[in-house]
Amino acid sequence: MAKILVVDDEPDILEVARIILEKKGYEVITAKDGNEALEKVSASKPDLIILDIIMPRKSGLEVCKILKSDPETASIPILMFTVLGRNRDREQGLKAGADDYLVKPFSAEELVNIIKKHLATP
Amino acid sequence: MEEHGQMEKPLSDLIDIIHFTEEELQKSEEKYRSLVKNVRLGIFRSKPGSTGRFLEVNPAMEEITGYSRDELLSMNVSDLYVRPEEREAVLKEIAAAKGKVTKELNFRKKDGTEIVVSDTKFAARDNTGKVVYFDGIVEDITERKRAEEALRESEEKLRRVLDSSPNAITVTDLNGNIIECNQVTLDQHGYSSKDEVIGRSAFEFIAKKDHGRAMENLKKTLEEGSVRNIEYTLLTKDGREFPAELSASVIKDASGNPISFVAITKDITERKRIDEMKSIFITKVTHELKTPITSIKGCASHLRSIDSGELKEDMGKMLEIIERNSERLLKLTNDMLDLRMIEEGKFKLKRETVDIAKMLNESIQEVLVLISKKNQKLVIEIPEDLPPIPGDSIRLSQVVYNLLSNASKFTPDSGCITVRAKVYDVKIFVEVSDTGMGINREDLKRVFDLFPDVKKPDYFKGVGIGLNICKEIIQMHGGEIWAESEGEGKGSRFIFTLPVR
Repeated sequence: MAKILVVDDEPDILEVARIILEKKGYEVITAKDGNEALEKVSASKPDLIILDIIMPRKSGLEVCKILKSDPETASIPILMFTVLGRNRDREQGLKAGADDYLVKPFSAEELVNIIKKHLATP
Repeated sequence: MEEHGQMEKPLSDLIDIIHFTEEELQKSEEKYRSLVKNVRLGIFRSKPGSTGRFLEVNPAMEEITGYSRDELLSMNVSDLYVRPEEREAVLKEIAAAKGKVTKELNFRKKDGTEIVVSDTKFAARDNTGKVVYFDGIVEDITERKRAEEALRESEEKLRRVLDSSPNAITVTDLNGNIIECNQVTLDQHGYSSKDEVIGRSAFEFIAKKDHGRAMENLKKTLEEGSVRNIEYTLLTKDGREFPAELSASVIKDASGNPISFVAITKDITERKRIDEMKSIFITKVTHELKTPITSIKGCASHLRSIDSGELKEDMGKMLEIIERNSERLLKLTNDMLDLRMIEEGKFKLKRETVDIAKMLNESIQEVLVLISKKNQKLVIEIPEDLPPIPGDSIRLSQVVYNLLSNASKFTPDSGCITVRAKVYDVKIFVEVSDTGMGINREDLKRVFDLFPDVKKPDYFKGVGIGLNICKEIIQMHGGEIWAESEGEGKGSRFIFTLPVR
């Protein structure tokens, strides 16, 4: 079963994402900031990463750039959380190499659908 | 004798000249009529000495003084003076002088009214140089003096209007060179004297990048008569830039030709700052709203989408998340309402007797969920015998809740949070400390500001209202609140005091 890393500095959002995705059979790992995210990527080799943009220590954009410029991790799909109405976030995310974006607030269906879209074999 | 003859001449010459002039003028243009009427020159010859009399007077002297010729010839000249002793001093001065001397004197007319006259005298001397008599001309300048005074007053009034204007007012010629300005103009640009400003081009006070626009607007003002509310960056004496709003219009002469510009400028630094704060506020509040809504929406949509059989398993956890995030939204709403009350001066405290230990323990109960969720250790050192203080226990527990929830939020899992209270002197000290991310020295004061900054270290996460409200509440209780920290990563301490009655 696919392994998904969710990165956000809001514990409740991590917990909600975990419950939703585990129910669908995914393995979920979480990180609370950019540095922790990088550690978890190299330790757990996730199949897909969902990144929030504004986070302490290292922003989601920085993490995305680092992962996409490393041949080891460049192929892992990265979805950025963006805030509704902030088109600049979306542009910056795509420029940093993100594969897609998910607008906050999102529903359980939206979360699951976008993950399915980027994972060949769920 | 020749000298004497010379000295005699002026009076007759003068009378001739006056007659000639009057006739000429009367015959001449309409516009000179009023001039002739108003220029009434009294001509006289008088004897020196305190009892000196007039030897000769012309009809204008009768008109000026109100006395008849006979009356004038039989009175002491000094009796015309409001201060008779003044004549002696004037005569002495003329006797000592070589030529004519002109003085402004105060005369009293026959009917008692005081007039101001311009009095020009020559001294006629005998062979030994002794003054034999004086020849002189007297003009009633009372009206002129009054007009001059009125003009001075009117100018003074205009100056006062200019200087009491809250905005900078500047008058320039058609090329933009400054002719006049008021005090606010000087203050706004940091100059101490008008001399530093007048005569210079107004462009010297506008930032270079705006010169092109300023030139266009100068033309536009001339064409359309005025321009309104144009934003410029202006310069102070020491080169500092500040934003200003300018309105200008053309001043025209009586026949409608433009002669100068008048510009009103207003420093809008404060307004710009408020605009910026507003936009920071909206950005932060939007983010603060979106985060809990994301959790709530995620939970609700999940609970709806799964089979009712599976519902039980996730329901407890998710309802808990929904409730916690609803609380968070409620707190944000309440903070914003409090903020508005504070800004409008309507924020009021209840006056009751507060049992501090009880209040602290109740506030701690409210944050226990947050603290235990992060596995943080809580140390409580609150003596039982704290004296009661006058205050508002709900507002005070709001402060404690804020400090505790911040401490938990900015302290990593398994960190430690301590609440201490003690009485020292006539104050109760309450301290909430943590082992969290700490605060940079330069930010210790700033954390209590409203919306501290966008380019923030992580501890400015949140809207930036909570601590500002805490400060307000503590100050309204007559206490103080401050933050201490050894620096980033070294934990922080928030301390407030409350006076014991």
